Amino acid sequence: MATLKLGTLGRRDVLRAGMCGLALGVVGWGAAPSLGSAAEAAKGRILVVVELSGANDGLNTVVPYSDDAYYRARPKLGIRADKLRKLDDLFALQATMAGFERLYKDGNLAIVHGIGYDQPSFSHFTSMAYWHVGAPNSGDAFGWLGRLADAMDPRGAPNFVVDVEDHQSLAVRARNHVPLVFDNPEKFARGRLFEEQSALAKLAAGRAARNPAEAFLFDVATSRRTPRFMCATLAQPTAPPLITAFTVSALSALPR
Amino acid sequence: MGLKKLPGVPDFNATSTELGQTLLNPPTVAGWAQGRSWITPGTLLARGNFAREAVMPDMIDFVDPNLLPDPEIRRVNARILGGMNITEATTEREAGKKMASPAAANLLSDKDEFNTRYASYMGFQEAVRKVKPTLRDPAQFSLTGIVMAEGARTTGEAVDLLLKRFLAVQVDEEERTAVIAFLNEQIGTSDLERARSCLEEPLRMAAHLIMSAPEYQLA
Repeated sequence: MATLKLGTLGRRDVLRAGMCGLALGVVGWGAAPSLGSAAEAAKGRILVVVELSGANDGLNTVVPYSDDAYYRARPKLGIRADKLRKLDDLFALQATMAGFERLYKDGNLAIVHGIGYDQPSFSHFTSMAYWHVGAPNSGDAFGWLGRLADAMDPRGAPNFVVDVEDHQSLAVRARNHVPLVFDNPEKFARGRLFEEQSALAKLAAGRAARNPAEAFLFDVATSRRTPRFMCATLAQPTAPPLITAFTVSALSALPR
Repeated sequence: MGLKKLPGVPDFNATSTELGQTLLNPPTVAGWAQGRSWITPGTLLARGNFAREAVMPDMIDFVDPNLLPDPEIRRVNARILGGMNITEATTEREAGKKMASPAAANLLSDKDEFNTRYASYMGFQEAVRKVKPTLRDPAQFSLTGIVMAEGARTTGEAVDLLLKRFLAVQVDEEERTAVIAFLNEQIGTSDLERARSCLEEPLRMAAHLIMSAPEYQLA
């Protein structure tokens, strides 16, 4: 499971390339999750979640071009019907989203419109928190991806959840998992001199904890030892390709 | 370490950004999240690396980030200094692409009416000509001086002083022994006085080891 916040990678680039190109880029960071009952079927599969944090103009991404209200509300911003990639009689994609159009027409893309809840909070950060826990007004301490990870693997296997951004998102906060958080694999290495190697390996590692604070720290210290290996492995030209064929999936069974 | 001022190397802003704490630029309008989200595998590494850069500053590779424009500006600069005209110099030709691409904003306006790449280029030149330089001095301290002044005679006593100075929660005997063994090996003796002249770098490495212990994060 991996989430990616788009920092260095431009949003426009992502939309242009289609979700596929992006997912393949980060797919290698996640450890292979096993899906409980569907364990065999899902073996080696990774769920990639891309969050356009700071929002994306949904109405100009998937345009309700058949709805006059759209053009009334957006006399200038609205995109004219002849400049869109039509999906059906109601909705169309913004012109540069050729990759998404292909995915949709192949039955590999589902779009969910108008997500929200009654009497929404107008606070940006409250709304972000609801978005991340996936439950408005619930006060849930764990994120929706974190809870998913807890449900899939209650033992909390290391590196089950990978969060590619500069700080940990509430969405991945879990009871039993310590998410691996980083935004630059090159920086994800402990700088050390040759002489320090063995002593540093001992000092920086996790050990028997005497209290919950130490237990947490040692957990974190231990969970970050593998990613460096993962990053190094991935960077090698001989690494096995992480591209999985995009087969007809559960997505295509969803009503459109 | 008895510092009276903030070191210029490593760069304060770069360091705080790596730690996810860019000054005045919180991740959301709510500010920074509280509690455990401060420490992630990535920031734990970054903290260890910061400790290393603070006690063993790399003066050879250090480049003042305030004076370092992004690669695009450098490319434009190289082309303009090479005698190219502004339109050509500010058009990016990406490898593998047939079409040259002007700056995205320029696509919306008439050609060269408003050249955003040239504007960034000139803007950077102008800004750097006026920017008040940041003093890039590394932390000035002597761990040798500190441990000797506090009366340490052996590597064991030196390590105990460093542990006491840097950690609020002490590490186990096993880790303490590892640092002492490291120091003994580096200076070839456990007698500080005999190794005084070559003590500083090994002591700094020992300090880095101690600050890399997860316990260092606990107050």
